Amino acid sequence: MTDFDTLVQKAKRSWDKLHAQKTPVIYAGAASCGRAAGVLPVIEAIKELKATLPLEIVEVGCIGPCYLEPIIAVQKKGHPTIFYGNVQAIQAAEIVENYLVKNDPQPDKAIGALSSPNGSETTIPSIWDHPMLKAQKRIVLKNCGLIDPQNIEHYLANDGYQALNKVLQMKPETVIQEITDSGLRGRGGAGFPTGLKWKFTRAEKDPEKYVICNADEGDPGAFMNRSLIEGDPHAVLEGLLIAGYAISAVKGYIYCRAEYPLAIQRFRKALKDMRKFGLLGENILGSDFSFEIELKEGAGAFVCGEETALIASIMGERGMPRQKPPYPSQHGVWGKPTVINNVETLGTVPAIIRNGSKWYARFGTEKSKGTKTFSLVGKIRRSGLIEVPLGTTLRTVIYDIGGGIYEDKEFKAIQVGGPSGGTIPAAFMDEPLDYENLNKLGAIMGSGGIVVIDSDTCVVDLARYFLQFTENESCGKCVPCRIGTKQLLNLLTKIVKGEGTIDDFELLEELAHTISEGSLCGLGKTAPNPVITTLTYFRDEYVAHIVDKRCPAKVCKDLFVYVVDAETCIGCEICRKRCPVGAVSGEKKQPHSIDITKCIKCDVCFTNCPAKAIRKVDKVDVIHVSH
Amino acid sequence: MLVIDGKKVPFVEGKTILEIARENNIHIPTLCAHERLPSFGACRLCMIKVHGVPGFMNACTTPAKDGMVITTNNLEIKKLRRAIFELILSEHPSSCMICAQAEHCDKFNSGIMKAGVITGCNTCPNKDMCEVRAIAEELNFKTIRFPIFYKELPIERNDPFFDRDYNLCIHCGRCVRVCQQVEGAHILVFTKRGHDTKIGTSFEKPHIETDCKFCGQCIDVCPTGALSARGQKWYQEPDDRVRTTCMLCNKGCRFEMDVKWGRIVAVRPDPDYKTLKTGICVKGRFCLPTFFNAVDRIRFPRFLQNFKLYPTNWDEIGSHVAELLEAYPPSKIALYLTNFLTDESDYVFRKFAEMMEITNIYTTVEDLTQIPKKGIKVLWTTEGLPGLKNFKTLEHLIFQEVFPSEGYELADVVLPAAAFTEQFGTYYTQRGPMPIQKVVKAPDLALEDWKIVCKIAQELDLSGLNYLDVDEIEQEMGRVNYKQKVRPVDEYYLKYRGTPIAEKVPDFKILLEYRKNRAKPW
Amino acid sequence: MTSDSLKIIHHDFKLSDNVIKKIHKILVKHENDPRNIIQILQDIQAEFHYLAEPVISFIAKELAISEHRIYGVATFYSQFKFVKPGKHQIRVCMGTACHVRGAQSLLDKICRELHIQPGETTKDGLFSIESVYCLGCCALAPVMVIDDNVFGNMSAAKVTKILRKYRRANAPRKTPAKGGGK
Repeated sequence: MTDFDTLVQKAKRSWDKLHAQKTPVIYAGAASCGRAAGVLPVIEAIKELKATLPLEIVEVGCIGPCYLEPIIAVQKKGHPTIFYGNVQAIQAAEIVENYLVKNDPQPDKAIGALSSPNGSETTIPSIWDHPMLKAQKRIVLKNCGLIDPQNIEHYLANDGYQALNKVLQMKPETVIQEITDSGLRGRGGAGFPTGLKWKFTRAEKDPEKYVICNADEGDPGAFMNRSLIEGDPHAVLEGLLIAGYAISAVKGYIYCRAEYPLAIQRFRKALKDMRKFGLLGENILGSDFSFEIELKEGAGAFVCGEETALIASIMGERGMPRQKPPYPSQHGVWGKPTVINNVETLGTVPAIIRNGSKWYARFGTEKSKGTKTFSLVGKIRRSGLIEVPLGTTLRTVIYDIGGGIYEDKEFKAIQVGGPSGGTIPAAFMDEPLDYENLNKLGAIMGSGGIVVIDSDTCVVDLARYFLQFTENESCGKCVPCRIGTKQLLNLLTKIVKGEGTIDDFELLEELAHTISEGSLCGLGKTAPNPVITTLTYFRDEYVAHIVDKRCPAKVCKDLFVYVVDAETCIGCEICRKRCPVGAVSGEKKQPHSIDITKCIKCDVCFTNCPAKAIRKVDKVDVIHVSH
Repeated sequence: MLVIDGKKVPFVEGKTILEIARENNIHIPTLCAHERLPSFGACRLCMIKVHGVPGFMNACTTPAKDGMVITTNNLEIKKLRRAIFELILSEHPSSCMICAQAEHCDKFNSGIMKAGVITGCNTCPNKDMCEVRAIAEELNFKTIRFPIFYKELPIERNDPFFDRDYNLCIHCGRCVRVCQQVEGAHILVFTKRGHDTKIGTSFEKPHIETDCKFCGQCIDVCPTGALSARGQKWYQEPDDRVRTTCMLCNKGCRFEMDVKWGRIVAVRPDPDYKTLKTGICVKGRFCLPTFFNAVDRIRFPRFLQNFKLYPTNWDEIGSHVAELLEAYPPSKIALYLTNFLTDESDYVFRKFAEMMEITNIYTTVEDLTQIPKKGIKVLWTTEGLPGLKNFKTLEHLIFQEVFPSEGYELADVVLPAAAFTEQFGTYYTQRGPMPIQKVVKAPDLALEDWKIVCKIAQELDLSGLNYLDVDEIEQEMGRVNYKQKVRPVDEYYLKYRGTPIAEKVPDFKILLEYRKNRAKPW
Repeated sequence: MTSDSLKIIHHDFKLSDNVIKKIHKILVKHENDPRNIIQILQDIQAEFHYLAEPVISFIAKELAISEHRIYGVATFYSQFKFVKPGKHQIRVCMGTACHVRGAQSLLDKICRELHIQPGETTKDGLFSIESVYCLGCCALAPVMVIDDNVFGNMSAAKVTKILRKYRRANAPRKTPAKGGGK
């Protein structure tokens, strides 16, 4: 039995002990989303129970349904483990006590259960049958939410580092072949075949090679990489090691954006533990393979997600991309052949090695093999992180998994691929989610962020929002992006203000074309995508803004005014009291009115009116200004 | 072999498409590429189509591959190029370029107008030499459909020697790249990001506070008028460009000088010599024109009469000096030879001294202390007379100089000398013997040092000192195997002959004063 | 990018012996390697809260690289500040999910409450505010972060409550009445 087997056995014993122990265990989802939802006070409240009730708290990652955060799972010996969602600090203690002491699992509060071996039954359905989790195929997210990301033994007990162990007995070329046969494509956005990238880099003559893990997930609306790192950092690190072995690299880097402090913390702890367990440094697991990993933090630049900019940043320079060719596989960090892979790509590698390329290739479509994580956010009922086989239809994702549109509003479209992506209308819901198909529709897969928008979202404003982002994040090197995105943003701002002219259609299209054809890097090339797709699929909204000077979704503030419907108004005075600029006037129990010359359109009266008496009216319909 | 626009051109390993195109006289417009600098790929004007590759590639960064078939100018590329250029113009003060009256205006506006803010070519120091304007003309550009954006950056005028107006900057990055290359000075860098990007220094410090050497390379490579040397700003296209070697120290850097209306207006490194890569110093680059164009150059021979220095001609002064020299024994006559004499002038002086049996030849200030010891009565100086009070024995001072430097008050004969830019000759430098070229005419009656000696020699009936030109002297020097030496003038020497450069160049004075506590002023 | 004028030369920042010691410690931690400049600057900012001109000049000399190069690199990244920030830094997420759930109104509300614009610091030095892109908590949009504390599902009413809590915690303590206390 090798040292590795000993390690695994010990880890398994630890794991089994944890799951069979007498002292109850509370698993709390404490990744960034859990924290934002308020899990830390919940943990504090549960800790206070320890005085009277022996229990252990284990902080785990995110299991996916972020809309249910804070999530805790209560493990009781001989009983199923029950998951509770939307737990607040005040109720936390009560929920735990109810189950552990009173044996009441509170089915109405539970979101699912995990049956324990030899344990009692329960009417609470399995957590894996939860509508959000049922249609998922969790390969890379396998461990998230179930293991303690800071405990390497949990990873080892769950097939952790088995792939690495296997790979060390293989020839690097065979490893590359496996990855190639699996059909794995870069999950960061470009979708370049991973095996091919490794092959090209390995083929370079220079023996000094590097691997880089791109953890600079900058797309607003995307948090897949973050969740994976915070929930299961070792999956990524194992993948990085395997990549290093496959191309015979001398060192690996992780470039993680600074806006993810928890992810950085998780990485650092994981690296420390790896070293302790002989999984990093000289002669890993007793083999000839030696490897070092250095963690570099980003410093707030979205463009550093682009590979040449990332490389520049690692070398201590401004993150300005450079023209390719030469590609990083020929000329990368320090001028040496480099493989850069996304967090999810690397996180998938161990599973492929463990189960074989054929197994992985069973999932997905002809050209888009395997599974992909998506962040499902926006006006969706069940928002969070999911993993589905590529080729799953949008309908399945939005309705079956996502539960349909929030508050049953009208489903308008989805924005997929972040600011580089496109807006796909609801009519295309039966289209499969894969690289080719999304490209055909004018969008890109990107890193996998899906933002759901309803009829209350203005697509022109959305396009402008994305341009604002890309213009802000442009590195400024090339003319089409630096000046073009600014001009495009100006044009869209003009349009949402109601100052657009009929010539603007042509100008928008031409400018979008110039920017996408002329830009140096992916940021510039894809920056006009939101504009291009919305112009294609929602031209009527542009016509409304430019020609009719109306915003159908009532979002563009310069095109509508707030008016009190005198018939519905109950005179409760809430709007008058809440108005920050004193634009509302009216007596108690009398219909109120809004002075539109003072109104700053902060939306407070609209959202707080109990009678829903405030209307958003197109400015062009308001002929007189009432005094 | 490559095919570019249907023309077959040879493939050269390791070259970019742009380099190969240029070597074969195929024109591709660029703004950020520069033959001396590493390629950058920022302006996107050099986009071309490589058959078989989707989209466009830019010619300046893409390595050429054998067998490539390239189109540089089809309709699609033309449209894209124009669109990109339109974006560039929307942020560059371009009113004159697209003005309908431009042709008409040019007929009546011969030069540029000084204005506080540059809004178009007619107020820009780069008007006739602007690469952006050249491309606008090439593309026949007449309309900008986008709102014009003026950056409203403060115009940076508080440094000596050159001004910076980044409102004109097109972010080609050439200045940044050249500043990195010239001994890694790294003064000009890209700051901020995206649309706010600005070229500048750390915390917008004026260059004088930094380690900027004022080498002026950035000005040379700037395609627009964003960086302009104050001394040469207003002259536009020069009448002539002459190359010579610098004689402000013994390094032997090569210059190319712009001449306008008979005066030197600009200096830059000789494009065909290695000093292009290492750079030239602030003295040669910025101080030289102002220095030699200063109004108080000595222009006429003069001699003292009735306590006044009367101007005269060479014949009269020649006989006057000859008389003077004959009146004293050689032991009482001394020559003070400046290190700034050309090799020929130095040779001629020494030959003259030999012929006249004058042995007191001084070359340093220390040597001058011999004057009272030996009771020297006549000093013929070519570098003024530093430390006036010690020379009580002197009865006559023959002042052969470029400026009325220290000692001028004691002179009773003044001989106007030509500066090194006003004569032919050779100067033996650290780089070996370097040719000196006549760039401009010397002012009025000023003459080469050796010619002055010859004139005096003629009056003294000495034979063998009546050379017609420097070639004659050179040949003789070769025949007698005259060993030239590198003069002990290092690059930080602050005078030319007897005149401190800072005295005639106020910006240089500011620079030296500001940096007086540093180990080296630049 | 923040709107602060970068023409400020920080005369009020003193390079005392203590400060120099701290800087040296950071430089040694990163092996005095100029290629680690971004990491060095991150540690400097963590220590001194912003990058002052004297510090950049000093580091340039110690690492034997141009201070302009350091400045050029630092100004590229949003993380680096060149003006002293407030005691509590408020960051409002303007990511896509937050945007569709009203992030702009949230930002406007905070700016109104504090009477400052994004990129500025309140007069009492208590708060500074900036907008950031995507903190990765999209399911809890709109999101606001104060120092290391994340506040999800934000609303205008919650803003007032939270800011009040911070103000109270920072209010100067009332001095005890003279005479008659223990």
